[in-house]
Amino acid sequence: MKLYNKFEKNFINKGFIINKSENPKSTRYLSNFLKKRLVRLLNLKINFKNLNLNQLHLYVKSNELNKIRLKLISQINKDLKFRRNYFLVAKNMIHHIVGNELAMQININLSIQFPNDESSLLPIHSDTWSGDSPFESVLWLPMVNCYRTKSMFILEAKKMDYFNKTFSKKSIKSVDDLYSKFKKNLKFIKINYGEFLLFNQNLPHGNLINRTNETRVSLNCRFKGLFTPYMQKDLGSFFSPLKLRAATKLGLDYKLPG
Amino acid sequence: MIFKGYISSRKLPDGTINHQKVQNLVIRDACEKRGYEFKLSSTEYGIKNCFLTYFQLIKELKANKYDGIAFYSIAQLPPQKKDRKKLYELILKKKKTALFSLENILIKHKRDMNKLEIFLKLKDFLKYSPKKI
Ligand SMILES: [Fe+2]
Repeated sequence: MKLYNKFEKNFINKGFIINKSENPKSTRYLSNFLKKRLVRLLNLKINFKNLNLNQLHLYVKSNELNKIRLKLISQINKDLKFRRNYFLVAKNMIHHIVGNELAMQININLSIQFPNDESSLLPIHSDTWSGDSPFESVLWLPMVNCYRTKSMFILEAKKMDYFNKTFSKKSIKSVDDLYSKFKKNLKFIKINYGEFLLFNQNLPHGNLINRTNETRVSLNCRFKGLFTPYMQKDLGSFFSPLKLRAATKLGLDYKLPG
Repeated sequence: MIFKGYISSRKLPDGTINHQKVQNLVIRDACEKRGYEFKLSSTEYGIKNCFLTYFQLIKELKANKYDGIAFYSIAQLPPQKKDRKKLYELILKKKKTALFSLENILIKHKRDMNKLEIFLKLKDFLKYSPKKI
């Protein structure tokens, strides 16, 4: 029996997959949605199509960034089409890697990182260290081309044994120290708008201060098998059912006669 | 005054655990009541006996990134006194503050720390007390 196809093998061995969007129309929907809302929120007198997200730092003050980001997140998550299109960007790959009875994170996240901004850093972590189930995968969508510190870093899967051994020696003093110890083994993801990244969130990952002169805008959302174990981020408060198969529906409704 | 939130993702020594959303609400409320500005929380890793985030926050407090740390609860403090002392000494030396939101305890001066230590001991010994009457 062949257990894994080439995508699955790749995901297991490397820890992530980068591919072209399976549905460019959906990617465009996400991008246009963000641009339209930004133009409105910022009162810009330009056509949304002309808004270059790479240059967003020229339109928003750093101290207003989080307020704008939270407003956008709230609008994103009120729009059911946004959610549907988000999934459609990588539906087939998610079926390969995660399964076809799925739970999707209730809130899609938005990251905006201005050049040299220290306020939105995500230090090295694995999501499982803070209440996520190891059965989750993250679909990460860049709304601009991302490279070097404008992107996120991830520990290569083959370095995980070394990581675990070093970690259990208990010589690490703080989160910064953890980063310095593994700096050499972290890989910055190079990915362009129009592509998607599906990654194994059990692998340590994070970001640094964006030292490029462009703004990073990216979205992320977690997917997991509907019936795989949940940790603190459970079904109802953090995940909602995305797809149930007919046989499951019948099973859930079934009652023995009598 | 800016306070950095500090929440937990594992069971606290008293056996309790609350959703991170709830922990953040408790911290936000405690900060608002005292007129402090609440800065998005850092989460302690769920790994047993891990205090990497705690020590990271102490480091950042030392670097004057904020005026205080707003813990969700005193139960998040490390069990070893020497690790708690690192926080106390820094608070005294750099005139900083720690707020324990659930218990509404603020530590700033030496006397606050002494009181807190007694409280922690009491809490610890309560595990030997009967739970049923
Ligand atoms: Fe993460």
